[in-house]
Amino acid sequence: MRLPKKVKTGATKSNKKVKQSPEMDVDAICDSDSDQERERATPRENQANAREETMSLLWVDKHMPLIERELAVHPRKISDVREWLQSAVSTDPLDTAMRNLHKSHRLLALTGKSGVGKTATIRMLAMELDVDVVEWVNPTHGYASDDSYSPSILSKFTEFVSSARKANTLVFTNESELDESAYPLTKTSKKLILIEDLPNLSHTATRTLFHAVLQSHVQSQSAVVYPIVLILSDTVASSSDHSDWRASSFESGLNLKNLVPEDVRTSSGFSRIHFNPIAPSILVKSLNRIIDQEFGVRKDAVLKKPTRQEIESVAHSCGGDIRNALNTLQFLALNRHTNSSRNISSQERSQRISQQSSSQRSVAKNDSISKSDVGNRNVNLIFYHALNKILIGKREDLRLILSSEFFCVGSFKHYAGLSTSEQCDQFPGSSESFSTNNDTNHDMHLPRHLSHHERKPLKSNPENVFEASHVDSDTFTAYLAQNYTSYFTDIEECVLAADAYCTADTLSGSWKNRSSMSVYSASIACRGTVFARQLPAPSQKFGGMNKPHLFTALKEKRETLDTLQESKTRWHKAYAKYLESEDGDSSKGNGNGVFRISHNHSSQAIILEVLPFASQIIAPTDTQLMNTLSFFGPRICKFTAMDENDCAVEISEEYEQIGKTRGSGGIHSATIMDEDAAIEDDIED
Amino acid sequence: MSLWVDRHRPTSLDRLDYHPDLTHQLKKMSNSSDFPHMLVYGPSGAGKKTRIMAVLKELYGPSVEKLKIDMRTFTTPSNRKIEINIVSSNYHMEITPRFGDNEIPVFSDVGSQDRLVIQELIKEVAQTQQVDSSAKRAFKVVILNEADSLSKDAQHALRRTMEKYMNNLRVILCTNSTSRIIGPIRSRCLLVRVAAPSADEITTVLTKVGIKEDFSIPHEFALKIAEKSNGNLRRALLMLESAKVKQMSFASQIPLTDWENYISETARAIVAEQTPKKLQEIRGRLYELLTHCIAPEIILKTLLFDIVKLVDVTIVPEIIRIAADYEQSMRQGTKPIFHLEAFVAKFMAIYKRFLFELMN
Repeated sequence: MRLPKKVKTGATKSNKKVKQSPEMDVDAICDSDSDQERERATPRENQANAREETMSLLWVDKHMPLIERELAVHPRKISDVREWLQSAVSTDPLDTAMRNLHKSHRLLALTGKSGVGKTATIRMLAMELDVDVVEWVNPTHGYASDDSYSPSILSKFTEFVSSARKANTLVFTNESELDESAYPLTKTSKKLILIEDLPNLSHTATRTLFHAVLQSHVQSQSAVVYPIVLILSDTVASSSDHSDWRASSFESGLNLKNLVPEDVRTSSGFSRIHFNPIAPSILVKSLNRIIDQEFGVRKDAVLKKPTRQEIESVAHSCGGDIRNALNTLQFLALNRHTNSSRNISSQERSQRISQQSSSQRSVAKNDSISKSDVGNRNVNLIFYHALNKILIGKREDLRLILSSEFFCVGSFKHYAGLSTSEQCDQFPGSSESFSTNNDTNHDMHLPRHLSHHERKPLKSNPENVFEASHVDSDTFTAYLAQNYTSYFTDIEECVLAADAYCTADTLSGSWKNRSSMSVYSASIACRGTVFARQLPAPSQKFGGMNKPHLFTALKEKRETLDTLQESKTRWHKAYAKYLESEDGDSSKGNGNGVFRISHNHSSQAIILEVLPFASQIIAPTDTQLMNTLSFFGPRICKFTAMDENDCAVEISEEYEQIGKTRGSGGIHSATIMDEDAAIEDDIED
Repeated sequence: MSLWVDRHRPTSLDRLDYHPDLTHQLKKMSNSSDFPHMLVYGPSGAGKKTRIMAVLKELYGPSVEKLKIDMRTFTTPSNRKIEINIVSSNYHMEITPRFGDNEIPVFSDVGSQDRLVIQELIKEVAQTQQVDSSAKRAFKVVILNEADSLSKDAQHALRRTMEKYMNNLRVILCTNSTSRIIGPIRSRCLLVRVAAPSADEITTVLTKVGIKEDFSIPHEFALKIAEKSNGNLRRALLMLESAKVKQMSFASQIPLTDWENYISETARAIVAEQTPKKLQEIRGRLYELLTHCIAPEIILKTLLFDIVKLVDVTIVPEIIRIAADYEQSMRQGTKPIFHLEAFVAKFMAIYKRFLFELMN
């Protein structure tokens, strides 16, 4: 392992971020971008001098790590990446030969949550190893041209990769004029291609092309191949796994699996290094270092130095995201100033700041969720915590008071989302809305006939809990509806909760008002759940939360429908052919094996009657078709793939194929029939 | 292979088995020089499409059965592509909606763009004159299946088109109920109601099919199927074939579809136990049904009537009322599972209370 170079001056030289715009003509965006790069690359000495001017600069950019010591990443990870990079760019002829022979070290994927130092590591190492970084930046001005947009961006991307693959091209000298022009381009032949800004991969054509580019890159035979580094931030699982079920046909979520095609992932040229969230201990160290640098030079009149305690609490709450931690600290320091006239202890003050900014409304003191600092990044935990909070619905252990969080309007099940009228008046914006309830209402009891609606006051405000969960109301409701049954012991409670979800759903039903109504529907779902609780929740360990089946079910259904649509056309075609060939002569028996359905049935009839019966009728003789049709056997869509024969296919061929599938699927179908038999037995019982 | 229900479908007016008056009228109409637009309606499995096809054959002769099926692509003004499957012969064209979301058939994926599709297609048919000099008729026929799924927009567009191209175009709309067809269209069409066949008529058809397939059906069994089929001949024939394939002794029970069995099983499970745990289990089953594209309304209805069969009469009215409530809220919402589950929960609560009172 090489020791980090003495960087101070060397770093600036080698740190040429050669930005290659996909467009040859340089536009404003590209300009500003490289400006930023320049600032980042500014040596530290200059920075210190120019502190006054760079007041507006984010600490994140200002303290960009330039040497390994400054990098808040686990040393082993750094050495992993360095090793890869070294062997990937090594100009040693032996290494090169080995590389080309095995086609190794072609593509590196860095994964991990955002803010764990993926980009910083690669940039730092590139600097250290004297490697040029060529980065792909999506052009942002393509929207003007309508249809040509995607193809042009595509071609630009291929162009970019292929041109970047070549040895130093004219493009570089051209670009370098923009860059630090003080020194000429060093003639290093070392270069890596950085792809962090991904093209629009939910567009199928783009994705195919992107895959093709990666494939050709990994398979490339050329003597000089520059490595590609892909940087991919994991998104939070809870919101990305069904990112948008409305845009169904797209592969949802952006993950390594749909970013890099299977064959590339298994090829020798591909490696993946996963970055874990930064451990709090490392984080605290780097944060302290940065804070010391920031405040060490002189007494800053404008900013107040955060206490060690605060730094530690930020480090623990940011979920291993250094970018977030730094931003939080800077923000806290900034806010401190505006509040400094007041004479409050620092701890309380920081709490006040965070509460005000994170949730606009002040909350009950014991609400641990909202107490979290500005921009708490530990989203997953918070989300499950919020769900748990709603589902358990802890109440104050005081006297019974008026059920303030919930009341019925009208006869059926239209709950007002907000609380008592008194609270409605104050809501939103009032800071004490919640605590005043205790003072004003605690003597009031509901009349006897309504006494079953009476509840103790809540410990935490459901709206605030929901807000802290960082998800939209649909997702939140779906999670509640998936999990509430295991939190209740009585069916009456379930009715109340289920009704609330229904109402929430009807409110957000039409997409036109979805955005404005979602506040209400979330509120109703949460309050409905909380109100439903009459008995204490069954003791349950934290974390027994299931993902809602709702979105996967929708997706599955849509897939089934698509397959049905396809198959329907095929069956109709077969029928038309049959009509023609036999001319409607019905006396002939099972002429051939092609299954067909006449076009005379409506789609509903096909789903509800024709296919289910057909599966019974065909089952004993034809495994393949049975599999295709049987609804409660295997999924329909999985099996139509085998049934892909067009009606034009010769009969013999079809039988051949049936034979094949029988060979492989024989056992499978046997179990299915057993299951069917079992179901029938049940029915007879 | 094809199913009996397709293989033994009567192809000409003369071969139709029931509704002789209607057949007579259709025949006379087809042979007269003037043929109106038609709106054929009636319950599922009554024989609407069979009659429409028979009328076409009467109009144009057997060559109308030379069908071709192709996919047409349309481009909307917003540059989206719409694909529509079309069944056509030299004399007619048949447009069927796609399976849409929530099992509602749609004529196009792109919301109300069906107006465009319908207009384009009909214009295209109408503007090409009949070239075949041997054709018996000067006009062509456009059949719109499941016409009630046409948007209001498309229906209004259709009204205009129907008038404009009356010379060389007739429209036959086929739908289960006329309630969602706008008045202007109804008034421009000859309404033809195809009623569901009676139990006797179904029995006759079943016996006939039996003879064609070389086996005899005991009369009682045929009657049982006829009862079970609720006047749906398609269902009756499918049941018969299924029973035959399963080598039933023709005395045992009538085969039902797997999803119906599944729902009645679910109903029994609901009646057996009323706990949140059971509710969770039932939710899994409801999801299973939904993913198999069984429309939520049908799930609710089937479940309701299966439950009603199992519980005491005194609580039936209340159960039916809550089912209606949840059906209504289901139509307003977007996630049917919530409403189905709420119905189950509510029923469980009611039934539990009922049992509790019974015991005290």
